[in-house]
Amino acid sequence: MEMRSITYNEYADEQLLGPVAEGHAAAFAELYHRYGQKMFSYFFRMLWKNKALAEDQTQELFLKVIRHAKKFETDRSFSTWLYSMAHNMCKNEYRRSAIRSKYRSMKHDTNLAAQDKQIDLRKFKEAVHACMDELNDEKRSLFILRFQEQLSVPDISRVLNIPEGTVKSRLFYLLKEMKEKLKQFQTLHNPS
Amino acid sequence: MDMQPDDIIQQKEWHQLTDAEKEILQPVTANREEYDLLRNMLLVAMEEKDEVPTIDHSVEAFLQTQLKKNIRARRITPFWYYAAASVALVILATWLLINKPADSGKVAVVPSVEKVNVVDSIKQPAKIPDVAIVQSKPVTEQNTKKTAPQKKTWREINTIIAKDTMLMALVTEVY
Repeated sequence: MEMRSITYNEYADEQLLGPVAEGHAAAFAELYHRYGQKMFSYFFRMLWKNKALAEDQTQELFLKVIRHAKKFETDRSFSTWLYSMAHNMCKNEYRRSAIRSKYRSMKHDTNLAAQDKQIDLRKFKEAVHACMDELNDEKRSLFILRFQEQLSVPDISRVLNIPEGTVKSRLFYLLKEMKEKLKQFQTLHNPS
Repeated sequence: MDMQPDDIIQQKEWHQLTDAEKEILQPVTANREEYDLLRNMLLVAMEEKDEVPTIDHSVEAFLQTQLKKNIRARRITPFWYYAAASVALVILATWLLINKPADSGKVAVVPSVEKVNVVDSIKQPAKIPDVAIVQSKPVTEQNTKKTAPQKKTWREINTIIAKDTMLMALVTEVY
């Protein structure tokens, strides 16, 4: 008999995988509630802000969770596992898709903003977004995981499967690169 | 805790920085302008997070149906194995019944005959050639060398025996 009264909101992510493997809809709903929008958001930013594609990828990701819930090793972190899968899916999507090159050709030049001495906040935001879009897949992934998903360095290291030292040095060079690209906006003080 | 430059940038304003933190930041940002630039950039990146649309509800609904299907499929799978095994057994049993020899109670069935080599009494025996293989024994001490068996006719043998008086005497004694 299914226990409908069970609420899973106090369960840790890893503990939810067991009931999900047994087909408990409420456990899956709880997991989806925690990570559904989050992963969609990740895919949306990683996959050229394409909503339909991000939804497809989110769906595919959670289907993998359903299929492999039984095999999940409980000593691992669920969120790291989820981000690792999502990261690999994005990499596959980059390989598969020709959209990226199309998208790159559509992008506007960041330096255009510098032509105007009266730099405003809107232009700065556009420039930041353009800079982010210009990053290669590896750097963009690092940027999103660190500055938008707010993952810790050890977590990023596990997701990207690289040493922590490498994550730190890549972050350092990423900040330097972004700073160089946005140098023309140095006079701007408060964007918000 | 090990503070990363980006942690500091996100958490503090320039005037809040300690000397130690400024030292950590030195390779990334040398002055206040650069620091503010990076801080603003990170704030904009954070804001972008909120600009993401909401995922469609149909995704969750679809996933819930898939969850049920997945469980049903997993439960049904063993039954498929049993069904397949049963079908295989039925086929095997049918095959054995078809190939089994009929019961001898009703119809006399001649058992399959093994091929036996029966001697045909009418048939003429194969003609044995009038030749014998005889190992020639050393007759004298001179003839010590081993010789290959020689083929000789009965007539020749009789002549040899007749010539050899000692052998002839032995044969006579035996008879």
